[in-house]
Amino acid sequence: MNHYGYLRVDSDPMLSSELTNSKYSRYNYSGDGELGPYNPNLSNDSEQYELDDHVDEMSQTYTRHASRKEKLYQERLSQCSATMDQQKWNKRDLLDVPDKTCIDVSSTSEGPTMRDTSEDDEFDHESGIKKYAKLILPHVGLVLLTCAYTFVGASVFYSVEQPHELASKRRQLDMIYERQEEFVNSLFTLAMLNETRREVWSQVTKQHMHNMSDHLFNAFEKFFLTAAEVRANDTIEMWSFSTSIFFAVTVVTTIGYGNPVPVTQLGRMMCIIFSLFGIPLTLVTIADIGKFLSEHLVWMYGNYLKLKHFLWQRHHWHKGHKERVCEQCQRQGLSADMHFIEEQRIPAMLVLVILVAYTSLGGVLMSNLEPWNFFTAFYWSFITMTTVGFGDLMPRRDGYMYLILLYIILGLAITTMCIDLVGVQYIRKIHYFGRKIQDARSALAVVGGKVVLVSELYANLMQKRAKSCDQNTFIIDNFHISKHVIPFIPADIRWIRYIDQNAESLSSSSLTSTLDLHSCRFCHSRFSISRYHP
Amino acid sequence: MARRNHRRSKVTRVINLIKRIIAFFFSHVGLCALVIGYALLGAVVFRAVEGPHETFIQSQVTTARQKAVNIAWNATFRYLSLHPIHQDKVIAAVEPRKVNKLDREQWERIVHAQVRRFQRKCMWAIKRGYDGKEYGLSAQWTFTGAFLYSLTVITTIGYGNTSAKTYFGKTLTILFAIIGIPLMLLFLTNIGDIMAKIFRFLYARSIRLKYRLILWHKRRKAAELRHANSDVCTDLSGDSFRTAPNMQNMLTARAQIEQLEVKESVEAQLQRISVPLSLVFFTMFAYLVAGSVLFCLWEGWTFLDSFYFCYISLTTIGFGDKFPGASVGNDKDAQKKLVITSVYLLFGMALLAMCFNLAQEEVVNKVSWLANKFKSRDDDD
Repeated sequence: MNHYGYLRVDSDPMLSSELTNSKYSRYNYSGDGELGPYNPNLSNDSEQYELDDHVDEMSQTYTRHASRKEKLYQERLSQCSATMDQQKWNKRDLLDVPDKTCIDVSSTSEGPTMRDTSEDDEFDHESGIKKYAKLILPHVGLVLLTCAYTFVGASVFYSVEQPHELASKRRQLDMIYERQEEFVNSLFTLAMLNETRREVWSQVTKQHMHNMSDHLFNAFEKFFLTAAEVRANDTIEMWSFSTSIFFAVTVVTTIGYGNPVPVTQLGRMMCIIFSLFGIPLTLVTIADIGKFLSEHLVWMYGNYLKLKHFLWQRHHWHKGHKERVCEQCQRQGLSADMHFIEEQRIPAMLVLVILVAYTSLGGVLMSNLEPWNFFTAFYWSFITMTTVGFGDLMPRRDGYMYLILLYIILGLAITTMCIDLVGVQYIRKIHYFGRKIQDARSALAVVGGKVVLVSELYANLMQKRAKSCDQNTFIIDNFHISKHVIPFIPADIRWIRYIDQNAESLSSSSLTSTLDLHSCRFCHSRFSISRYHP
Repeated sequence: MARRNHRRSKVTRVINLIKRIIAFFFSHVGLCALVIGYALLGAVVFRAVEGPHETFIQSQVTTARQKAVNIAWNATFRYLSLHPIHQDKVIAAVEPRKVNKLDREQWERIVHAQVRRFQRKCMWAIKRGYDGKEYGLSAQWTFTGAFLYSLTVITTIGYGNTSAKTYFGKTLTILFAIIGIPLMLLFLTNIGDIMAKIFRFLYARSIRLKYRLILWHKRRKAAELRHANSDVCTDLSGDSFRTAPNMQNMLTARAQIEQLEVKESVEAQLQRISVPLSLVFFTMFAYLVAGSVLFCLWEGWTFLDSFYFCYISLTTIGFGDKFPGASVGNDKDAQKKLVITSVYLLFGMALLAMCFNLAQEEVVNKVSWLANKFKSRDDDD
C-alpha cells in the first residue's frame, strides 16, 4: 500500500506541483473579503483564464471533468469509479427497495458536508443535490464494494476453515494428554522395576519432558492452542465470523498477523485468489481516502496561512510602511499592494506529529480494550499501521472488533496521506541531489523564498564552480535569480555593497546624500528615486 | 577581504563535498549499499538485544524441567521406601494390596501435578519466545536470523516467527522501522525504475530482432521472385517481349510494398514501447513458480504450500505459518537457507516494483483510451 502510493508520487513529480498550484489557485478565489485584495502574482489575462477555467470546471459534468489530462491519477480513479458506477446502476435494478433507501440515505448524508465546503466558494453555480450525489457516488461505491468483497471473503474463509479447526485442536489436545499419560506410565514402570539410580531417571524424564515441550510449542504455533485450552482440556473456536472478517481485512491490507491462518489446501487456494483481487481494490480505496484526507489537510493549512497573513497584514498596516516598486515593474502592471504567493507545503514536522498522535490514540484505545500497557499498545499500533504485522500482539475480544477495524483502515489512510505529502518534498530533494534527469529540468524549486527553475539554479552553480576569480565570485554572490526579470548589475557593485553594510556611513557620506536607494520587491533590482526629495 | 574570500571558498568546498557524498548515497549503487548496510546494522543490534533474552527463557525452561525431575524422583523414592516395609512384615493378602493402591493414587496425583505445572511453565515461555528447542543447540537470534528479521521489518512482510520480546527490542524495532521503511520504499522505487527501463530496452531489442528476421525473410522471397522472373524472361524472350518487363516491374513493386508495410508496422510498434500486461504478469508468475520449486525441494513442502509461501511473502502479507530454515536448527544448511531466502525476497520485491511500474504505465494508457472513448460517447449524446 505504501509502496503503491509512493510509486504514484514518484512517477509524476511535476504533476504534484501542478496539483498544488491548482489547488492553491482554487483556494485563492474563495478567500473572504476581510482579508483585503488578495491577488495572485499573475497577469490579468492568466487570471481571467484561470477564473473561466474554474467556472467551466464547475459547470461540466463529472465525466468530462474526469477526461482532463491535468490529473492522471484522478482520471484513472474516476474512470474505475465510472465503470463501477455503471455496474452499481445495473446492480441497483436487481437490488431490493430497502437497499435503495440505504444507498440514498448514505448519499444524502454526504451531501451536507460537501455543501458546507461549497459555501466557502464565491462562485455562482447550481447547487443541486443530484450533482453532488454524482460526485460522491463513485467514492462511496468504491468503499461499499471493498466492504462487500471483504464480507464475501470472510464468509468463504469461515465456511472452509471453521469445521477443520475444532477437529485439529481436539486431536492436538488428545495427543498432549496422551503424552502425559505415557510419561506417567513410563515413570511407574521404572518404579515397579525397583530402579533407584538417578541417572536413568534423569535421562528418561528429560527425554519425555523435551518431547512434551516440543509438542506444546507445535500445538501453540501451528494450531493456535492457548494456555487456557490446555489447562481446561477443552477447545475454544477461533474462526468466528468476526474473526474471519478481521482475517480478511488483514489479508487485503497486507498486514498479515498470521494468528488465524488457513490450514487446509482449499483455504490456502482461496486465500491466494482472494488476495490477488482484493489487494489492488483495497489499495485503490485507501489511496482514495488518503487523497481525500490530504486535500482537506492542505485546505485547512491554507486557511491557517490566510489567518496568519491577515494578522500580519493588520500589524503591518498599522505601521504604515510601504515597499517600493520600480517603474519597469509598474509598467508591467505590478503594484505595491500585491503580495507574494507562498507555495503551500505542509511541513514534514506537522505530518510526523499527526502520525505520532494517531498512533498514540491507538495506544490509548487498545490499552483500554485489552490488558496491555501503553507501550505495548503503541507498539502494536505502529506495527499495524506500517503493515508489518508480526502477530505477536493481537486483539482477542470480539465485541470491539469493528471499532478496531475502523481504526486500522483510517490509520492506513492517514499513513498513505503522510507518505503522499512528505513524499513530494522527499522526491524533489532526491531528484536535486541524486539524479540529473530530464524531468527535473523543468521542475520548480524553492531556494531562499524564491521560486526558480532547477535548470537556472544548476547553471548558476556551474558558473560559480567554473569561475575562480575573486571578483567574479564576489559579483555572483550578489546575483539574485529571478523568474520574471533578469536584473541589471551596475559596474560599481562593490561600492553599493559597501554602503549596504554600514547605515551610518550612508547618511554621513556627501556623495550619497542625494540618492535614495531602494530595491524593487519583485525583480530585486536597485533603483533611485530622486524626485521624491524636494 | 582576502581572509573572508578564503573562508568562503573553504565553506563552499565543504558544501560541495557534502553534496557529492549525498549524491553518491542516493544514486543506484549507493542506495543498494545503504539498504544492505542498514539491514546488517539492524541484524547486529537486534542480535545483541534479543539474544540474551532468548538465553534467559531457555534456561528458565531447563530449570523448570530439572525441578519437575527432582520432585518426581523424590515422590518415587518415598513410595519405594514404603514398599519394603510390607515385605518384612507378614500381613494378610488383602491388606498389602489396599496399601499399595492408595500409595499409587497419591503418587500419580503428585506426578500429574508436576507435569501440569511444567506445561504451564512451557506455555509461559512460549509466549515469551521459547521455540521448543534445547538450551545451547539452536537459537532464533543468530546473525542470519536477525538479518532476516531486519529485512522483514523494513519490507513490511513481518512474519512474526521471531519478534522482539523485550521493551528495548520493541523500541528499537519502532525506530528501525521509521527510518528503514521509507528507505526501502525509495530503494524499491529506484530499482524498479531501473529494471523497468532494462526490461523495456530488452523488449525493444526483441522487437527489432523480429523485424530484422521478417525483413530477411521478405528479401529472400523477393530474391526468389527475381530469380524466377529472370527464368521466365529467358523462356519468353523470343515470343512476347512486351509482357516481360511489365511482369518484372509488378513483382518487384509488390515485394517492395510488402517490405514497406513491415517497416511501417514495426516502426509504429517501436514508437510506443510499452510492455504488454500479459508479459509482465507472466514474468511475475515465473518468478513465483521458480521460488516454489526451490522451496519445495528444500523444505519438503508440497508445491501448493511453496507457492503459497512465495505469494504471501512477495505481497508483503507475511503470515509466518510457513517459514524456511526454522525446522532444521542452527547448522550451516539452515543458515544458508536463511541467506538465500533473504536474497530471494529482496530481488522479488524489486521485481514486483518493476512489474508494478510497467503495469501502471500500461493501465494509465488504457484508462486514457477509455476516457477518450467515454468523452466521444458523451459528445455524441
